[in-house]
Amino acid sequence: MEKEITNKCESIMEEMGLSALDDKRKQEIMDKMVGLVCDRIILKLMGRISDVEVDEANEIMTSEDEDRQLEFLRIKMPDFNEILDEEINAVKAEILKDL
Amino acid sequence: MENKNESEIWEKDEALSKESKKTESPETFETNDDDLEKAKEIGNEEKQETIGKEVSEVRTETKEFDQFIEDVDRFNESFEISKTEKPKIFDRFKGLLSKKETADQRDYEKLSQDISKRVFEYGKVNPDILNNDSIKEFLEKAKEIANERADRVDKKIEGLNKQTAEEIEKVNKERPGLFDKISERFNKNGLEIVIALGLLAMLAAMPREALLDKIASGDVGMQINTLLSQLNLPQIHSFLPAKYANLALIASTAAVLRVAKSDFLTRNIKKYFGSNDLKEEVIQEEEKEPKETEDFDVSSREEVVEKKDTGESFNQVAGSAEHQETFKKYQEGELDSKGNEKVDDNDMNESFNQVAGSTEYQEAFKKYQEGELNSKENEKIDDNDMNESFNQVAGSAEYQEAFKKYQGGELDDEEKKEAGDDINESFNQVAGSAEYQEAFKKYQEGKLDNEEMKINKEELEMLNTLKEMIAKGEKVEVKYKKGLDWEFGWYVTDIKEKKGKRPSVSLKRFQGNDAKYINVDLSKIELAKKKY
Repeated sequence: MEKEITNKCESIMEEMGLSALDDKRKQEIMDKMVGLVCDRIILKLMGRISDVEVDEANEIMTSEDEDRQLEFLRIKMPDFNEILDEEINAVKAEILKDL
Repeated sequence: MENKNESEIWEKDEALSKESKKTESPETFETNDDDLEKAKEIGNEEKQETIGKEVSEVRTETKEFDQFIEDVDRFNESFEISKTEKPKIFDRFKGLLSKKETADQRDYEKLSQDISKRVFEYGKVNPDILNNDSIKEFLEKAKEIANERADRVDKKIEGLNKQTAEEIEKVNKERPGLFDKISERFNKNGLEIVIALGLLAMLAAMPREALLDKIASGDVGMQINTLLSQLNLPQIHSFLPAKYANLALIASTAAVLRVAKSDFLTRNIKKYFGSNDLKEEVIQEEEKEPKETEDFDVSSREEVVEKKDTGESFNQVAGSAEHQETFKKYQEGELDSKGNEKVDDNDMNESFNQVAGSTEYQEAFKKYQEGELNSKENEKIDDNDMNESFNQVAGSAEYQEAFKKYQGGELDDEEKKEAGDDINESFNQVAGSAEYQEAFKKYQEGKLDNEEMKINKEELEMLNTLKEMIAKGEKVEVKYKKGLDWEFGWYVTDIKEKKGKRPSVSLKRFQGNDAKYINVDLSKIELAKKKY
């Protein structure tokens, strides 16, 4: 399955001029990009948590109540998709800049 | 036409090369050499060192280009030896690279990757090419180049990761542990997957038809194809491992309902990526579903479907401000609907049915028919030609028939079992049914009992180009989409256009002394010389 996924990622790698890479290496790069985008989104989220909400956020995230956790994330990031797009574009642009 | 077109392209390349030659300078080396001499003369050691380094780098680069040009020569010879059609692209690259002073390292890398891609494409038609020693050698070289480039991508990512880590450290000092907790939540609830999907979708732009073909040939099945076409990120399915297929279904259902994707995803992802208990809970909820589904008054919807423009109406209504208002009412439990007593926030099928069956929805629908819907929203939806195939199918009499059968429990049983695990069961039951598949097939073949099949902008452009080329008496070579692969060497002999049908194209291909003829839908071909 991994091979299939990486095969299908061909167009991304092509955009980066990496189409001749082997599948394993492509997957590694994809994984790294995902991790980076993920961290950047969480940082954005952190920026939206005010000082007075920190204790509540800690409590919610430590609890086992997944509904509350997801609700918290949803309220803090109603524009999740936009942020996702922004961060992906930013990472992509920074990688391709002067590559 | 081989060659009118190609010579035109080459002329353009030539012109571009000349242009860049003017700006980028063959004089670079001379100037650097002169500067180096001058620097030596005046004893400026620092400048001497810098310029010397630059000259040496440029010379190394030039050497690589020379080597590359030699390689391209050899590849072209190889193609001649193997008596296959010589890929003109090699000549084009050769032409560009010959002007080595205008090329830079990035061009070189990019071109090597492009060529390797083309080699693989030709390899599909003529597998012998891949056994050719020169080609093997070239592909190895292209791989090396890609690895070097990948190392630089890695370094870039590392650099960005370092910056991000510094920021994380900063927030950790201010709010210890919170970042990690949220991060863990992201991973556990599948948001990381969502991010991966977004990343893939954003980066993997591909032509609509290629995309639909790709999705249609996926593991999960064609039914998702049409659902995903509702989503602005339709590519996601093609990158998904089967175990995440439900995510695609969730996302696409959300899009069908025009619910904010983020809201929907965050509320539902946990069911699929969370604990087993939660999954069981979902299944139990689904088992309750048929009762609610029965409340969906399909007959009233069917009645209006007959009157409407099936290609657009649902989306027009669903995307309208009126529909959004209706949906809000539904969420707040204020919907004037006979089925609204059993509202379950997590059951998206139900919500659709509740909304679609309501008088508010009917009102919005009526407005759509009378052209009174919120025009801003309408424009937005008109632009999204990805909706077309789904709408054509979903609006058809065949689909309605399948949906009716679903309600009556008469759908194909085997397909029913497969769809049993999905949250949006009722749609999947319909979409996965033999009836729906038939409708979809008819859609693909342009035989759907429906209004005129529209063609998208890209297809229209291609159609016009084909007509122009044929009118000029040019030989029009196209590639034909056969399964997952493109077959080259097909020539257009005729274009058939009938009112109410999608245009089809007659193709001819030589096979030894014989020729093979086929008629295909426009979506199955692309110009062979289209840019890659």
